[in-house]
Amino acid sequence: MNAIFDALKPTPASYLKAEREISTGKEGSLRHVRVAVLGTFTTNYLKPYLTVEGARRGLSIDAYFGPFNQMEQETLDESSALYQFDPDVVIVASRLEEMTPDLVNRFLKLSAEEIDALGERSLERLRALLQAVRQKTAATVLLFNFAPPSLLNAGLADAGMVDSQTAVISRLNGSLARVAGSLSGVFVFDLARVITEVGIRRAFDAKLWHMARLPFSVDAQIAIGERLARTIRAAVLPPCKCLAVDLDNTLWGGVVGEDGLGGIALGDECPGNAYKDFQRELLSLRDRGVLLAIASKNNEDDALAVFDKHPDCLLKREHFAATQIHWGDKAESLLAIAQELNLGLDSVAFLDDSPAEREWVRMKMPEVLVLDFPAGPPTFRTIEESGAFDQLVISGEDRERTIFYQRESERSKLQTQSVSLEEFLGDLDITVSIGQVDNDTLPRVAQLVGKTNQFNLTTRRHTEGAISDMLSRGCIALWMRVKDRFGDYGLVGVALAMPLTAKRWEIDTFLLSCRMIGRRAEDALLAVLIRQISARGGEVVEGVYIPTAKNAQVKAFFPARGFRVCGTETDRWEWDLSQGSYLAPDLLKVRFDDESDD
Amino acid sequence: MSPMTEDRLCRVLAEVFGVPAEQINEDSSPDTIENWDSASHINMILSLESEFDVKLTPEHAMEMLSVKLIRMILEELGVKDFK
Repeated sequence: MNAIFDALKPTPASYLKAEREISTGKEGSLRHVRVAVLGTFTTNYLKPYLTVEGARRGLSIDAYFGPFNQMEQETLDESSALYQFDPDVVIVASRLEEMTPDLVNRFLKLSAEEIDALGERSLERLRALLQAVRQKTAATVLLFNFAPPSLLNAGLADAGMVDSQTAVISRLNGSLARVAGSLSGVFVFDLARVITEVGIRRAFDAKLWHMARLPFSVDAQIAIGERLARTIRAAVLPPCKCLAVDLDNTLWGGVVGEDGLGGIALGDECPGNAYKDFQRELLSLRDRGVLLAIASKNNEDDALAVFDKHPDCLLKREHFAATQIHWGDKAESLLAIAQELNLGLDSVAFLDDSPAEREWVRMKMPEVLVLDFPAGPPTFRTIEESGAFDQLVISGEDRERTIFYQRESERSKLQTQSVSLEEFLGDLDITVSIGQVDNDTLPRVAQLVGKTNQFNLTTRRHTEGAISDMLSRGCIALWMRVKDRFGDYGLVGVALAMPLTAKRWEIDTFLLSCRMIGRRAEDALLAVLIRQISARGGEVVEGVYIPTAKNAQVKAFFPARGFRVCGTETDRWEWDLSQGSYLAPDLLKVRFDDESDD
Repeated sequence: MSPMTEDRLCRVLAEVFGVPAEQINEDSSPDTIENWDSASHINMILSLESEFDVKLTPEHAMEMLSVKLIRMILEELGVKDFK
């Protein structure tokens, strides 16, 4: 497969050839995704780029392209080819150039009121279309935003206008983001950014537009294909949660053990400024919620001295959630980091300047994502464009996560002082709040459903759209927040139950964020869930365990809580409410915000 | 290996239309190659521009309806080396 990508050139011929090779190769390890594209221009030229760039990112994309400029026909009609295709992802590639040509071509003849009205009309059209897609499928929807026009109607003067054409379009993109955000499972695809990166002059091709209703040059088509593939990957696969970095020649230039604290390159002058900039970028990655860890072969004292004493070292010890500095095997270090942070190895990305270490880790721990490291000081672009940390939404919980882990280490210190687990948990003063999933909590709930691996009984990856659909079919959906005397962990648990019959319910999904494991909060969630099922007339609650490579720790979850084996099945247990209700542990304060009664 | 597979023009067309280069000859056209439709024609034009470093106009595109005609137009634009 790699040979195909190595031979790739930026031409349609090369991508078409690669597309054929990929589709005949039938690599079994690729994740299959059905992608439908609707647009106001001929979108089917994007196919080879989407397919090849998808395969490069582990996706086998089966694409459907709607007929040119028939977005309404496709979305409003339930029997359309779009819905028969049964897509996992729907891409809405609409452009202002076709939807409201005057905003792009005759901007100066429009009054302020007309500009607002035209913008509003386009957004309304998209809103209606998106709502139709939302009602008829559970697919994730990606909505193109509006690119800067290829030419400005006012020419040089645009820059001086208060409500310039540029400003109006960028404001429309803000409104577009609000439209997308108001619908579950709808996300903005930043076409404007892709076109700007390619360069406006290079991205548009008037000849192609005139010949084929295709506005974009080959370079832009490739860039759009790449970014779409990255976005689709982020929609269907969870991101890495931890970046483990080497130290010498990665966080600073030179080798601290040989060059000494004053001899390494790190500061405001070249070459040290490249490393200082890179450290700043890693801090920004940490702000997104990615945990940083160290995997370095070094004398621990030498290495830690840089963090403690070097005036230009922006990263400090407390920024790292786990640290492995010794002369042992790096693959083992990564395993230790994953275990300490309660993560699977496939949630860990590894950055190291040494090709030998990278190769070693690739061989010994194929689950770990080994990042490229081109010659010279590291650049953040390589990390960003690897897609390792791509997420379509960054939630408040993501931004707070790194602080949680900092507290976690304080807590484990407390755990070693306390006597029994009960005393320890009592000491923590844990409060659990549970409530019904609504529009405000749905994005975070879907995020947890999409990425929780370990404490996850069924690992059913429902999207936002799918959960909305389940709710409309009578699903009981609960979220759980947890706080203790060290802080608020945010929304960390989800339980979904579906009625099988009027009296028999199945726990479809039951999961807990890994940082909550070991606090008995799951028992509180289970207790409230069973109470809710009972309130809805349920008499028997079935619990399922679907084994995966990651969730062995919850294998005995149901039997350990007094659920009885369900007939002859081995992975299914039941709680008969005639045997009594399920009680939450006394140690926890449980609050249930029940809004379903009003 | 037949001499045609070393021909850059035939190789580009083979890649675009998904047929073996051996099956392409000077008389190949939209009538003889199944995948040569209006969409792949555009991809062919773009790939020729890149392979031979030429700019093709919509008029060129409309005339390029057989391998012979494509070769003639490319030669008119100064392409000498097809190997």
